[in-house]
Amino acid sequence: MSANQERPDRAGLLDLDSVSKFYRGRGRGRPPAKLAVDAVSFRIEPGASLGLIGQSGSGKTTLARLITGIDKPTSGAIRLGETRVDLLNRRELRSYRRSVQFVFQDPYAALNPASSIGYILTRPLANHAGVTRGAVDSHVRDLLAKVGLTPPEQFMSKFPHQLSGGQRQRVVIARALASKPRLIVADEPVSMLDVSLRAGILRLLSELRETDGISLLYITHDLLSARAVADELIVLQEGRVVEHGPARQVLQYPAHEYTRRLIDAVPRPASHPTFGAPVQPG
Amino acid sequence: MPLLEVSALNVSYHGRQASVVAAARDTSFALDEGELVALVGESGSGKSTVGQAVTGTLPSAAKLSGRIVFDGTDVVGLSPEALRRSRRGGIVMMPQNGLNALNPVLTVEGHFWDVLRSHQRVRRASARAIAGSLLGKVGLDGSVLRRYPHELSGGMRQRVCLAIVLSLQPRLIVFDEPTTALDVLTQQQVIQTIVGLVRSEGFAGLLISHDLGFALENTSRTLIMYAGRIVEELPSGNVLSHAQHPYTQALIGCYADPRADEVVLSGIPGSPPDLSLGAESSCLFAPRCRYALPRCSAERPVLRPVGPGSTACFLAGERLSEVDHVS
Repeated sequence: MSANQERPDRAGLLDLDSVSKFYRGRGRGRPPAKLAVDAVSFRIEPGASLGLIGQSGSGKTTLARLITGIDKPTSGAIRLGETRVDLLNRRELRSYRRSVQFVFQDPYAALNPASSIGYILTRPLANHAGVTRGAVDSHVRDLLAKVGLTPPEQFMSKFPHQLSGGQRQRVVIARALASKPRLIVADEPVSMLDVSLRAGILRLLSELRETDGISLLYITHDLLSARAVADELIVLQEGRVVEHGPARQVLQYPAHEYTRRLIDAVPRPASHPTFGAPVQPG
Repeated sequence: MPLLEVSALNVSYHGRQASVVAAARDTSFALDEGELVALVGESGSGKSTVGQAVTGTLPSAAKLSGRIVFDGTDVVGLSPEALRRSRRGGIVMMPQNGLNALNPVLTVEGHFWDVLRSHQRVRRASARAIAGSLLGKVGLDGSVLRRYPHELSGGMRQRVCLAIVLSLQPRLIVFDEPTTALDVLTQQQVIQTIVGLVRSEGFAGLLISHDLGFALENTSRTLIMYAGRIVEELPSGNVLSHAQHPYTQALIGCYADPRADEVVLSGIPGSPPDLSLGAESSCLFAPRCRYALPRCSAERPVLRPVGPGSTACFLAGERLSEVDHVS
């Protein structure tokens, strides 16, 4: 691994340069050794959004762990702006995580059931954003309003179990926004939500890019939601990038067999061949 | 005579302080032999409650009224033992998540052995043979028998559950979100296996799903549930062209072809209603409905035949697209 010196001039906000991650097998009963991510390179510009598509086991989640600094790559470099993420030590990581926030798949598991929404949002404000006690309440209200939970006063005293899945996911996003991140990594943020509520969350993520210039790494195996939020798509298979391009182009002209199979798996009732001729009413 | 006839089914939960949650309200539908029907709704719409009522697996706190007639017999109020015995050749629930449904310390063979011997006299060797052939039907091979649930992938677990369900030779299987926890490609493979088995084995299926697109692609008829009631029923092939209920139309708007030049997902504003309200005197979808009339908050529409299906909406039969131009 090279030292923390060189700086490519056309780098974006997030820059992955030939990143690989090898997991060593750990003997009997342990998962076998695996090259989970194999020489992956991509960039996300400020305010841009990239969709990372792939099946379970394709390396999507490993990449998210590397980008958020939870794991270190075996080789390659990860940069966020000027920061070499893969070279950070534990203390530096703590402040790095202000800039990169995670939105999880399961809004039911991501919130402490014993804490009120107000308290859940207070913690990152105090820990990361250095907001003083007196100013906390108005910050919490701003965050709730920003994610569409209005009137905010009504939500501050509530507990997670009193909210619907869509509302909880909005709280998770509000918590992510508290530290004023530059990048949000969203791992299947709508897959556990009702279809009718997904559009609202996806719209919120897109708005945050426009209003706050936050970049988005959107991890999913759902091509429809990826198309709705991402400018560019990367399709991963067995840790390798098999397709990379503007979202519309990748979906309209898939070059790889695996991408075509994913496209065929999207429910598209209108164009489905098993649809018989509709019965005429009356 | 239909295989299953549910009439005026009401399921409610009575909490402390006289609060009542009516999870299923006056629900009626029928299912024919060998038919695969979808029951579609958002979380909290009551679709799983209906599935649990039909399979006799409601929590004991639930209060149930109405009739559930299976093959000429009312199954409401059967004793637990009669219910258990009725599973063989009767109604069986296929669980949503194989990892939770399977016993982590039992091999796949152990699961078959448990189920088979509690319903029939069977020797270990023939149980193994039966299990092997059922696993073949769901696309797995006999080597799975020695495995534990944690050693299997999500798709394999769902197939194992399906094979165990088949060992009871059911005439009706209630599939409660059978593929929700799986990734898209596995999802497609599992549902194709289910559809194939409905054809080859001849059992009927009630497919409970929150995913309209998925339901329409795989079933012959679709029931749309909202706030505890069936609000629309249509042949699946007619839903896109003939959906009359604004809720069904809004659900259709949640889908799009990801390959289109312009992708717009409309979603449905607002959230589903609180079911702890008593008998309602209005359409519960009205607060989220873009076509709502004053009448909709004063009177409850009932399910009535419209075109190829039935719809519970005052505007059904009118062209909503024209109403749209006015609003």
